[in-house]
Amino acid sequence: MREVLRIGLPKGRVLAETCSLFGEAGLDLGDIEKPTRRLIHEVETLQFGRFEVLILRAKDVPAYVEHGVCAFGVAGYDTLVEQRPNVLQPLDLAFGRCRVAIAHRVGVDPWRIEKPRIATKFPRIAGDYFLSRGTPAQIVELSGAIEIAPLVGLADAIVDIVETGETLRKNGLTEGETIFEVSARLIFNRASLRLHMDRLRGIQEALVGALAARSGGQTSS
Amino acid sequence: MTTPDDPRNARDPSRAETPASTSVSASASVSGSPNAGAATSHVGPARPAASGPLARPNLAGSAGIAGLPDRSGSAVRLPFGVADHLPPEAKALRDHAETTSRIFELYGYDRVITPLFELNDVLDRGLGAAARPSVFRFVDPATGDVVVLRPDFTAQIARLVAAHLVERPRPLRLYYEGRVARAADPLGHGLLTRELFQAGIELIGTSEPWADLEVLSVGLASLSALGHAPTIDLCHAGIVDPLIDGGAPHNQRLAKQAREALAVKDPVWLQTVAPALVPLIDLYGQREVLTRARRELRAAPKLVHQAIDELDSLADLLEAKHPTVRLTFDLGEQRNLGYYTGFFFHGYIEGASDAVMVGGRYDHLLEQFQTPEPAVGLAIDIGTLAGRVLRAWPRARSGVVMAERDLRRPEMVEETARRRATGERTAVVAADDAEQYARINGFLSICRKSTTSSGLEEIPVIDPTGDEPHVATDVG
Repeated sequence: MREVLRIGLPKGRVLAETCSLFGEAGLDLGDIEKPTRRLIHEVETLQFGRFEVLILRAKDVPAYVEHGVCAFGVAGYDTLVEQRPNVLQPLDLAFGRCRVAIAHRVGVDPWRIEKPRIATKFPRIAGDYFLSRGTPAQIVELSGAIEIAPLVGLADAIVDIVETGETLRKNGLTEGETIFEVSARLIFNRASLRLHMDRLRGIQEALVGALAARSGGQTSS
Repeated sequence: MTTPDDPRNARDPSRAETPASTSVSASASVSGSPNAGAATSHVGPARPAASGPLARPNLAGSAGIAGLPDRSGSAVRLPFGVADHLPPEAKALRDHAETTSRIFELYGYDRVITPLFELNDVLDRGLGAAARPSVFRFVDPATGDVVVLRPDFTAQIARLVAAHLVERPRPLRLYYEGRVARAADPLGHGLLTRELFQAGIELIGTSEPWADLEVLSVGLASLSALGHAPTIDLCHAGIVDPLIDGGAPHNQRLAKQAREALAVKDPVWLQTVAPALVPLIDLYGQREVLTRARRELRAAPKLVHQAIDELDSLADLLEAKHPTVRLTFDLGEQRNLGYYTGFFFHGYIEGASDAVMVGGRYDHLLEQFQTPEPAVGLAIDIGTLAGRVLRAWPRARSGVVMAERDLRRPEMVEETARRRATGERTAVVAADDAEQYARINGFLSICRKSTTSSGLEEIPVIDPTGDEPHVATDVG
């Protein structure tokens, strides 16, 4: 009966965590996380009505939500800070935790280099961070395997996502300061939130409930 | 979210331009850019500066793509964020301007026209620091004065009132319609359009609740005349401001970051810069939010509670006068050019990704121009509305094409004049091109020399279905 709302979710590892949290909140997305070529899924829930779920690249979710193609979605805080999309991000979903940090070869201090060259997937974050400390870094934008850059002389340091630090260690890099902590966020389109206030607030509150139940479970165990 | 070796993290071309993407621009950002100061002010999460680079493809500022033939040619290039408006859209824009003007006049508002650019020092009084990064500013070659392209009408009208209309009896009811230019989004988000079409009203000289209600009614009537029933999101500047001024952040830098975090409802960032404001993030929803706010903001200054009461009684007035209007509330909403002092609102419609109407009370703006008095107003984004109509409905067809090889033929000239005199849209075209011309330009019929008699005949243009752009069933 109610209008079909579109949801944008990031494919990959975060999708499974999204599905389990959404499921705990009563928004059962079914088997959309199973590997398949289908990128659009129709989902019907008892509590929240019908949805169309788009499985997108993590970096693309904010664009779909900002332009109102998706009413809401899940995006990493790293992506939100880098892209600054015009969306609302009122809920920290507390999974997908990692950090955006500086890393460099042991014995190299990027802050002692006058104009350090920084390799990163986050040119805006890296550029602004160094500028904010009075250091006009030269940014080299890469799309993967960032850790190689300092080893072969492409960069003095990198700004990248760090989860356990294992990849850095394996490549002979040491982790420097953390620029900020990352987690998955629930994001809303500005207009959709107001036009479908009851339903979207209901979903947010159910997610808050599910998160509270999780942390309650952790404290007792 | 992702790991360093995750192949999903590909290059995002729209973010390729950063303040420091090359060593040349890096040093330029520090020494030459007025934004360098803003960029050095971060603590906590490293947010890009509000005045940071726009989200746009790298090639927008270049003459073409290296290695590819330059098909478009620099002779017709436009700056990023502006566009031409071709016949169907230009007409839709004018129709929207006319419809809103008609409604404004029905409520007794009089039109004013303000200059395209003004002195920076003067307009800056009204707009304040928050608007600075979003203003096009240049030096007047004749005088050396710094001037700005208007980013907004309201501050201009405040100046106009102070200059010319101080003696007029109050209230003043003024309306405007036209374009504003924004260099960047005030909050640093992507801005796809830098030239906006607006129509709006200002009701000056009264702080009575009926004035607030009148402005909302004019807004609803205008959108209704354009075929929309918006959801109105009610907000209040007297909630965030006292909490920021009297609350946690003691310095301007933190206050600015707190506003930016509130603008996107980022609870984690807000927690680090102004923990006292975090409850505001969740204070949005239906009317019950006001009850919840009174409870959760119990310890807040009295001003905050006055603001909540004001929203409550405004909602009563609004629901009594417009029983079908859908209302939502957002006590943490924090994004505007900075002059609102009381209630403010956004109007949202299906199919537009952000607000199409914004307005509110600004009781201290006129004071900046030495005429302290209260005022309230709104602006409608008719550019977005017109663009949406074009996508939703094909263009309405009308009128007749006069088709004739000899364009001076007396009965054709006479018939053409006769039809125009009756108000019919009439275009003259050489006979061979008439049918295609009529189809492409949305005419209903062709008038030509009769094939069976000596007079003229009128034949309908077959309505093409399917792929023809801009031409379809007459909806008028």
